[in-house]
Amino acid sequence: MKADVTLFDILYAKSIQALALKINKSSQLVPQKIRGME
Amino acid sequence: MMSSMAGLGVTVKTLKCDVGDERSVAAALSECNSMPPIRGVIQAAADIQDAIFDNYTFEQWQANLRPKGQGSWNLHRQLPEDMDFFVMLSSIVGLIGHEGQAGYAAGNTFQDSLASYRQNRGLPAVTIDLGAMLDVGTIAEGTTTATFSSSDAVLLKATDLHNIMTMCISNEIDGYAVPAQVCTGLPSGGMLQVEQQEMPLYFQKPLFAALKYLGTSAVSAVHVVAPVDGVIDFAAQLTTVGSLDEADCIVAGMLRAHIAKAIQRAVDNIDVSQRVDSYDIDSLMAVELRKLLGSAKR
Repeated sequence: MKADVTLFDILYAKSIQALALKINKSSQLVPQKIRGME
Repeated sequence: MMSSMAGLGVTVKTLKCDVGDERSVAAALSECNSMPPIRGVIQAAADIQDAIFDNYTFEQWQANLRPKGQGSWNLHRQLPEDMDFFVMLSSIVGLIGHEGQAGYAAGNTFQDSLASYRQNRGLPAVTIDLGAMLDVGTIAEGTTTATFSSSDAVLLKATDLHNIMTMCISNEIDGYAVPAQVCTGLPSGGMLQVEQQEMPLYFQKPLFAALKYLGTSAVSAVHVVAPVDGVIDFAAQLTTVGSLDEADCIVAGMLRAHIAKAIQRAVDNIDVSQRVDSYDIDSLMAVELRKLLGSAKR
């Protein structure tokens, strides 16, 4: 996914869904304009 | 019902008790001593006391909680441990909330938690979070002020409940054990999209993230990337997304698939509202997952 996440992010994310959001915010595969959207 | 069961050769005994009073429950059960061992229970007691919170009295709160909270706990304490089933009729109100039903919602969530508590102790238990019933129950009888719009809940019929009840009593759904909490009667995002209905407010909660996108065109559109050797290329899908919500859905799906594979469970058993470490993912597995997330691979 080319995402910048730490072990802490993975193990202590509030939920799998919250981890997915964290991954997408930093994933280089997600288009930049999408990553900036809320 | 009594006469039809008697016609089938079933001995039926009706007893009165206050399920919220443990001594009353114990006394009722002692009257069953001459009968065969108790093999199961269906806890359907409820006291509907709807009121908006500003007008809600302490007495109404107690009435709401007594049968579902104290009553369910009394059954847990008084009934034998070696039963085949312990089914509690709860409600989706505990999950999605409903105006005027704060105490009722609390009673239902207590039952949901009690079912998990019992299953974790190796005891039989399941709560059925019932949706809006069309032909039986408090809505059909007019004993509650609760109403659900067609986008909030899918109307269920008594036959649906019978089928669900059969699965919960037999503790088997498609070859898998029944989870502690069975939620019924909530629409998926795909169903609402087809019927051109608005998404309900509760879809904004993370708990319903998977349900919100289930069957929607947003998910269908990004799933056009064909699996290669049976493996879905999530990374390729990400490059085609049109919104962050779609991206979240894809990555949550990827995480579910990897977690399920790591702990050798079906993907359907992985709930995206739960923490990763709630699925016994240890630090070594997390290292592997991080390695995967840092690469551009599937």
